[in-house]
Amino acid sequence: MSTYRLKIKCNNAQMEVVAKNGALLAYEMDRYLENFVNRKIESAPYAAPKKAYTQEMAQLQTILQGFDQEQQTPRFSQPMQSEPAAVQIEYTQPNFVQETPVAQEQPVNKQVQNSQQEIYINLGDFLAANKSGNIFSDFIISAYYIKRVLNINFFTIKMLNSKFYPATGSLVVLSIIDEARTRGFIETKEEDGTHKYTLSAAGESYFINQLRG
Amino acid sequence: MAEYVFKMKKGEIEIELSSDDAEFVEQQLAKWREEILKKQG
Repeated sequence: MSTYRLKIKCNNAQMEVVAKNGALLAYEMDRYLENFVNRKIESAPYAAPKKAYTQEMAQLQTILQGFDQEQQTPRFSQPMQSEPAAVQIEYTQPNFVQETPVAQEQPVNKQVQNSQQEIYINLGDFLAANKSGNIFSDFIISAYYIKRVLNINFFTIKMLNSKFYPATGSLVVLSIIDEARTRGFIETKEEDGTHKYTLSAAGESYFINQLRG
Repeated sequence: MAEYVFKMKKGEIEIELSSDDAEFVEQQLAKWREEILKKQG
């Protein structure tokens, strides 16, 4: 699947939108093009239907609200609107996380600085913002991240490790998952011959009470 | 996979679009070129 990235810089302010849906960026591009040429631009083939765009923004807002609640820090200088003139975030969707080198260099609580408003939601930042310390804790935090930040209910080991390894340099093996399952933190289902996992309510409680930063 | 970058600047504003979807970038580039040339004309 293709990736679309839009960066806007103005003086010290910078915004970056990353999406797997070109329509969102085409819509934003049209708005900036209007400003550049000072006239209304007709919709392009990639222009997003308003409904789809609004749904995406609502989904994004939900993800970020959940993230904000965990971090208990303000993320926006003003509330998100259904059709913002500028989206001052890095936009990620389930399965679509873009983990930039810049994002890995800084913990989450240092992302918002002065007028530069960038939010990088990647696993490395999320682990750094919480009480990671051993591979089991990292796994639980990662499972929570997938479920509540990426909004993906079930994950495979392969998918988990594709995010876990770049962030930690380690791989989650079955013994870790078995331990989590034994403790009731993980639920399993089999789909198309593949084992899929999700953080249980007990796992979420463990994260909130023991691991949340 | 190839990545296509389309960057433009006006005054203090700088916009950079990048994607591995060549058709998307081409369409955006064409539209921007057309509109900017209209403005120049």
